[in-house]
Amino acid sequence: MRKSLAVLLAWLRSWFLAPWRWHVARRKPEVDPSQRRLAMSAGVAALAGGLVGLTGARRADASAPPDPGPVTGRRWGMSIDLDSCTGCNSCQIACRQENNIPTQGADAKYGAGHIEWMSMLWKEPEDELAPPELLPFPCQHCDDAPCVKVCPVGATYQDSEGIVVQVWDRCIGCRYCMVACPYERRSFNWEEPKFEGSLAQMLNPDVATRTAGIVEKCTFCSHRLQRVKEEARLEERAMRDSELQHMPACAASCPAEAITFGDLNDPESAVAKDRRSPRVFRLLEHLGTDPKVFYLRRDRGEDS
Amino acid sequence: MNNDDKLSRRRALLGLGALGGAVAVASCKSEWAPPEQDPFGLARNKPYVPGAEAWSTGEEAFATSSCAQCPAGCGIRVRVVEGRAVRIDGNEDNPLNRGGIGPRGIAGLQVLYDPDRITGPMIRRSGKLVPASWEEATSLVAKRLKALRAQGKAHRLLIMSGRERGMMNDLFHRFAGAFGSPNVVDGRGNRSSVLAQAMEEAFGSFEIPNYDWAGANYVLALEAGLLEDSCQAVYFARVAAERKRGSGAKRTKIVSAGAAFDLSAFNADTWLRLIPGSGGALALGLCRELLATENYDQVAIGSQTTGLEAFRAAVESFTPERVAALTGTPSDTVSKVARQLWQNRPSFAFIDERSVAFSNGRETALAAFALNTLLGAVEAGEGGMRLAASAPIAAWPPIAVDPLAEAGGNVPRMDGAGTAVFPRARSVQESLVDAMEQQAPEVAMLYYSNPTYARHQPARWRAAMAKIPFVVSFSPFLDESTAELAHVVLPDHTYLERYEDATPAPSLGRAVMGICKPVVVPLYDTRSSGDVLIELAQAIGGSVAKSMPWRNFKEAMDVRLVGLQHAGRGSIRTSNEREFLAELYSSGVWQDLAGPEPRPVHFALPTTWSEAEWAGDSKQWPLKLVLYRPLGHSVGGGANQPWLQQLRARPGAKPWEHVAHVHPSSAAHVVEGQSIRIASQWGELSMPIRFDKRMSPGFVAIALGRGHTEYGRFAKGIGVNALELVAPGAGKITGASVLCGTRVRLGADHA
Repeated sequence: MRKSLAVLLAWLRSWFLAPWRWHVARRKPEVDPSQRRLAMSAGVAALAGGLVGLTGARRADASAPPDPGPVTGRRWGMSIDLDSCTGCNSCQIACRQENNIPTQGADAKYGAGHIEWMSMLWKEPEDELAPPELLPFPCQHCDDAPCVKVCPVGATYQDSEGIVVQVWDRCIGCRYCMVACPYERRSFNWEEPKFEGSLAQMLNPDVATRTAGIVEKCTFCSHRLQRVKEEARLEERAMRDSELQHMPACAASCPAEAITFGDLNDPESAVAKDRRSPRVFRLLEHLGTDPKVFYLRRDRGEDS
Repeated sequence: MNNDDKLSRRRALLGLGALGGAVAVASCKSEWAPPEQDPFGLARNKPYVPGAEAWSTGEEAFATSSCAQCPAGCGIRVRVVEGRAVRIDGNEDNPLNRGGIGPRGIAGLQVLYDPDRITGPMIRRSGKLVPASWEEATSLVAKRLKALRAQGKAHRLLIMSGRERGMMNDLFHRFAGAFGSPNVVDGRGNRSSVLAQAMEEAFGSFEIPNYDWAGANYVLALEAGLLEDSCQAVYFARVAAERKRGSGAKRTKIVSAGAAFDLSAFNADTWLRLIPGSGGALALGLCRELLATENYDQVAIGSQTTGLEAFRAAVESFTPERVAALTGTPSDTVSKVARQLWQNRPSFAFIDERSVAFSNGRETALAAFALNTLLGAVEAGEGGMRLAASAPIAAWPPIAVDPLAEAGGNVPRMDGAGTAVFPRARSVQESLVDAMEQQAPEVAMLYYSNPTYARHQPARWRAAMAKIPFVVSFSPFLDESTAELAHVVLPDHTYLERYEDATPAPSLGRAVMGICKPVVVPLYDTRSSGDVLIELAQAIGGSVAKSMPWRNFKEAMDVRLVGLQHAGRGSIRTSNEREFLAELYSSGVWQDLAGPEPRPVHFALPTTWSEAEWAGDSKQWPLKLVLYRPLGHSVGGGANQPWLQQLRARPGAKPWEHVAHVHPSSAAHVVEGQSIRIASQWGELSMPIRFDKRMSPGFVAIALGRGHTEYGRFAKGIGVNALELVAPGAGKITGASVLCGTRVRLGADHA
């Protein structure tokens, strides 16, 4: 009887007194026992204290984002030259391989549920006879990221150098970030990922595989970036733009060198120069997400 | 959330835990025990890999090698961690790809770790392939071969090799020559045959043309697979991008002419829609225009060609109106493009294997060569067509020929290559089935060749080859031919586990030679086919053994590779052979630093061109069938690599799907997306249709490479094999497989 009362009061508190917790969807397929315990203990605390819930103050708890790291003055960004991109799909496969992205099979049930961090997005023009456009399309690592704002547990946040980080272990699979992202660059693990038979041998040991119930997305290959940072630190020097340009797996594999990575705050870096190009554009700029992936328009030339 | 299992998920290698000990059990190597100091139990989550004992935890190494999945021979750098290959990148030092890599190259890990690979030799007993030992399997084959020789029937050995070039292909030719059989049918009979024969006819060089993009301002691609199936696709992607970026010089304009809006069309500045098979007509129309306006390189024509007046008379009929009717392009296109070609020199017309996949392929090639000559773009220094340069590797000593070999070598080839029917062909594939139906060979060897899937009318090949009493397959994968026909399987290592040369399909205009070397300990009980072939020769004995005197294939390779050191030029210069080989195997590639000087050529300008032929009555079968090799397919294979199955290779493509594309006007009663029947005079299949308003009406485009019935879990049952529709028979004169020469119709699917 006392237990049910505690649960009832916890429910009341969570729904009426702390609106910010409305967003917490239940974890599929059933509530994790530890979460239920948390709700219960919250109810007991509310009952005993009372005032905490009434003020609606955010509690310093597990849902606060982690420390974004020291301020270095760097801001990581990417430029993709659509004029150079041939559509070969190397970037998409390199990303898949580097980050241990599971491959869904041919079953039509997967549909849009295919997990993909770097996508090749074909866009048909309005004029059916005009050429289509192709965008290699990673996470845009927005400076004003909607996904960061809605994550209830702080699994996704922006670090001090601008990378929108995804912490697999914190993700509770509510998929609110997937709703929030206007670019649909986040994928959900609906099933336990399968690496069939000996295909598990080729998993990259630098990147954790995810389990069912986790949202995943492009990380700008932070693990590879970490390697570059450490090498520079060991050699007691600054990182060079030349070792950053092809740092992510997608950029490294591109035969046309269409993808470039680097420090946007370094005016001499290749990405900073690309950002100043007259051909530059960003996706969905009007939404104010301030993405850090800059595209250079395809130049089909003039028919002389 | 924080129980033990999830804590350890942070550990990177945890993902392997899904496997548990399954692979350890499957591996046939001796037991592996987890290390004593393993407090977190990491080791139990890593499936066993051979040679793992030699690696410390987390130890990493990089190995340089070459990709062998397509003739391009891109250099690769493989990251190996604890004995497992976990990443393939391009090799920065390889001039072909310079660090870039194609989608197939990265997916090479799925070749090595294909869960359905053949794990050891097999022998067919009571109709089923069962595991056997190497001694058993090779002695069975050797016995059979010796008996064949003893009966004086050495010429009844047929070797089908999927390679166009390279030392393994040479080794099979050598073996057959010493053995006494003329019947080695290799990859030359397939894709590059038309190009190589046309190049030989025109310029005396039996190899695909090379193109120097660096200096060109304008490139006209004629129905080319440029960025899709060309074996130089990675190289082209790189140079096309470089030329578009300009790097100070004038930006290269790329015009792509073709029937469907493929990747080459997508990347071009302008796309000219063509009726399939009419590229040659466009080329000749352009020639006529250049001649009529006196805008052609008179010096080049004077020094490089003969028969100008006959050529001029022959192209007179290719008026803009006639070209418009033949190609479907507007009639002012010809004069506009001709003017652009002339004004933007250096410029050239580009053709590759796809350009000539029609019955008139040879004539189309000659027309394109003529156009290039008029533009002064043949062997002219920068920005044009160059003859291939070959690496100065040494030759093996001549084979020892005994009377049996001599007698066998004098018997005419089964495929008719080199006879009056196919005078310039070195190999012909599609005529082989006719010959086999007449008289099946006694012994057949399949080396990267899968005829009961990859040839026209696979069912017919299956029936003909079922009569062969003894078939040996070297395939590492259980493909259709291996599963259905092979009596003995001697599985090769994958290219990441073996030594082999990587003789690339020439593209740079200067010689390049790469090598493949093992980057991991071989996973299974497989053996390099070169080693096996040498062992078989030794077992046969006599002059056959004398002709293959090496201990293994690497030794045979090194004998030829040191020729590069003797030549005293190129990117690796050492004072002795041993150092040279060490440097070559370490760096992965040798290259010439400069191409040869432009060579004199004597080209008899062509005087004929005919329209492409499409087999089948045009009323009954109103649509033309255009088959193409999609991105990632190259010369074949790849269906066992799931990453290649989910490529978004063309606009609107979805992962794993296999659809036929057709212009909506050509498919009036068809519902898009529904499975419909496509039938030709020779076969039929069902697949979904998608409309494409951009493509030329009147034809159906289907990608090759799907519809496998074997070849592993990722290949089986996906899509259809469109080769079942294709008319049989080898192309006229060249003997090449005419991929696009059949008529079909669309009908309701009576499912």
